[in-house]
Amino acid sequence: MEFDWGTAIEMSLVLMAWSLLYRDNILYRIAENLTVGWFMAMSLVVGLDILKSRVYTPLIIRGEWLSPTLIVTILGLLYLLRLLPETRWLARWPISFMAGVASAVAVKGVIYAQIIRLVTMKSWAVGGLESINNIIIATFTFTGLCYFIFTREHKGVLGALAGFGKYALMICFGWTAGTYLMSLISMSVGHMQTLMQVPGIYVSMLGVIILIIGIIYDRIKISKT
Amino acid sequence: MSWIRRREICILLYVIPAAIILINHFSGSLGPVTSEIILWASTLATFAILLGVISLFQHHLTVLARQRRGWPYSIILLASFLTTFAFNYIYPTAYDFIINRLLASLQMALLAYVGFYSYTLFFRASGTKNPYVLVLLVAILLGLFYNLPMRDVIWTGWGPLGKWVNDVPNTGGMNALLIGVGIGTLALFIRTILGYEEAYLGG
Amino acid sequence: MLRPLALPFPIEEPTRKAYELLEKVPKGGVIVLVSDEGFPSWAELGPGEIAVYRHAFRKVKQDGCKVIMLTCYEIAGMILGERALSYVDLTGLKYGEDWVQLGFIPGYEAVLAGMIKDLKSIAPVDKFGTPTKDIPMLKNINSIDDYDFLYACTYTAMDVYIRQWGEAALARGVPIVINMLSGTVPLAMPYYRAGTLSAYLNSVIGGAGYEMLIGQPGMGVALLDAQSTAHLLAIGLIIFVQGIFTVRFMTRRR
Repeated sequence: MEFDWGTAIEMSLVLMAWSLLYRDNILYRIAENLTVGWFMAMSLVVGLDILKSRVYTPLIIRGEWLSPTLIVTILGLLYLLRLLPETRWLARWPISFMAGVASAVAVKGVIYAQIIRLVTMKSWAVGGLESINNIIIATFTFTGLCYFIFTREHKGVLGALAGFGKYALMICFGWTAGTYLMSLISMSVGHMQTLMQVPGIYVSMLGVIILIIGIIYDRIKISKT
Repeated sequence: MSWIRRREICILLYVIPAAIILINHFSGSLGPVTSEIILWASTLATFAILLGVISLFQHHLTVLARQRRGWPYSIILLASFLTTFAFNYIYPTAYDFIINRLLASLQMALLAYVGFYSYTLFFRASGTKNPYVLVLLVAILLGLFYNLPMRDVIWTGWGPLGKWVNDVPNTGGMNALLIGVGIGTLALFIRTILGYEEAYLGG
Repeated sequence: MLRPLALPFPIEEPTRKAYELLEKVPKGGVIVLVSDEGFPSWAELGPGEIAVYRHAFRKVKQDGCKVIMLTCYEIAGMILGERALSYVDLTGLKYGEDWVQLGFIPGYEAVLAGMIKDLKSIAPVDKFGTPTKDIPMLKNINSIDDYDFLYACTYTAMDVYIRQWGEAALARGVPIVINMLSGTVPLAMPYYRAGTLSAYLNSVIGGAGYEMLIGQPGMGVALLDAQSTAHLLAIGLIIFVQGIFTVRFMTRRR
């Protein structure tokens, strides 16, 4: 059976990245810089493809110079002037435009989905456990919002409500953290599976040998100093 | 010519597209103009990607030229960048292999490292004697057990208990957070339109 | 991982709901699949993504539905969307008539807002450079009025999709299903309870459940076993650490 060099190289790079768990080392740095280099290449390839279809083809191939494409191309080129200190201020124009579009788009969605819809939730008095649940949700929402009132000092009634709100938010953050931690460990499970099968297992063994050599070397270095 | 540097031009460039988009949303008019503006934003985002790549390239070239700390790694970065970019045109199979296999695995590995490291937060969190932290830790453990695929094997109650915590207390707290964020977004937008916020201008 | 334990796992109610909503898409309906996951999240979101893609293309074959694929957050999403597509049997289907790939359209939230009103304006060409106005399938498809199912796979906060799609989708009865990491499910709960988010897939568990529902167990089911043991180890370590601290704290107090 032919040796799967592709998987072997892949797993070598994974172990190089994980070597940071031991300490910062040359192998990790190599893996890190390779990631950045490759990501830059991918971004440039896709970016140029998009610019080719949106800027080059309409302006150069089709000759549509008197179109909005010219304005957006000029704005885009102003972006690139950010690289030079003398012309850096010109990049504020396309940035302002982008910020305006992004803000408006966010605000128009926030009003309905994030404020109105969440405040006017389902019926309060549906009966049974659902009513109690709705009351708990309303209480936690209200007290949580009280915690975020920073225009008044948290004293008296507001202080009590904000204090309860803090507990509500702790439950919320803790729950989120617990579920998020699970998802983080899941990312490595796929790789661990590959590392325990051929050819990953050979890479793992080589990795363990390198780690042992590294530990011995560090110990010798510490004992000498 | 100093008028060209005025911040009012930037504020206008912020307000005009924002106003057009909001007018379109609430009245339904100016549809084609809105679509064009969004296309412009999308194209400008591509220029931003280009800017990022060129900026990083420029930085590492400078590190290499001046032999600053870590300059050998800049060689690796620049070499991998240039060869991969060239592969896309001269040897697409290699490009596909690098991006689909190597880059994908490396990115996964680098983020998985965060998962390993995040467990040390329990070493740090266990140092505080705060009732809030206790509530936080209990909630974290509950979250961990609820998301265990084999939770029913340990105790059948994890499912209903976890579901209740997810659906009720968590929803309440998250509601507060999301409504707060929503109101904050609106407030920030109004402040920016009125010219009080200049963070997006870098000042 | 060395010996599959075949441990049982629950199929969550939102996963079932997601399956039923896609199954209910009418004949000739339009299914929009937005792949905004990144490489780091493929292990978690990949199983669900592949299962949804398989289900969507089964609908294409059985009910003549149409599929639109796009990415608006990260380039990796486009590559992973194609990876998910490689698991689908496309025999008998024709590109441009049954499905279309719009590729990576930068702009994230602006693109999501734009596709609600005018898809062809924010995506003037498809992934292969063909003008979208020339693609037969997209002749009568341009806005939320023409979509029947909105799906997004994301490894960042899912608010963005709800903000941009929520109001319009709710008004027209178009379901929104999001495949997300476990960590963002708590963030989604207010929207799910409010009804703006119709259903969701909770990372690997949701993906594995969806695989069982479509009758094609795959990567998700295989990963769950390994994930269970890894999670148990993590929980064990956490309790162990807390135990050590508690003992130290008690002895120091004495």
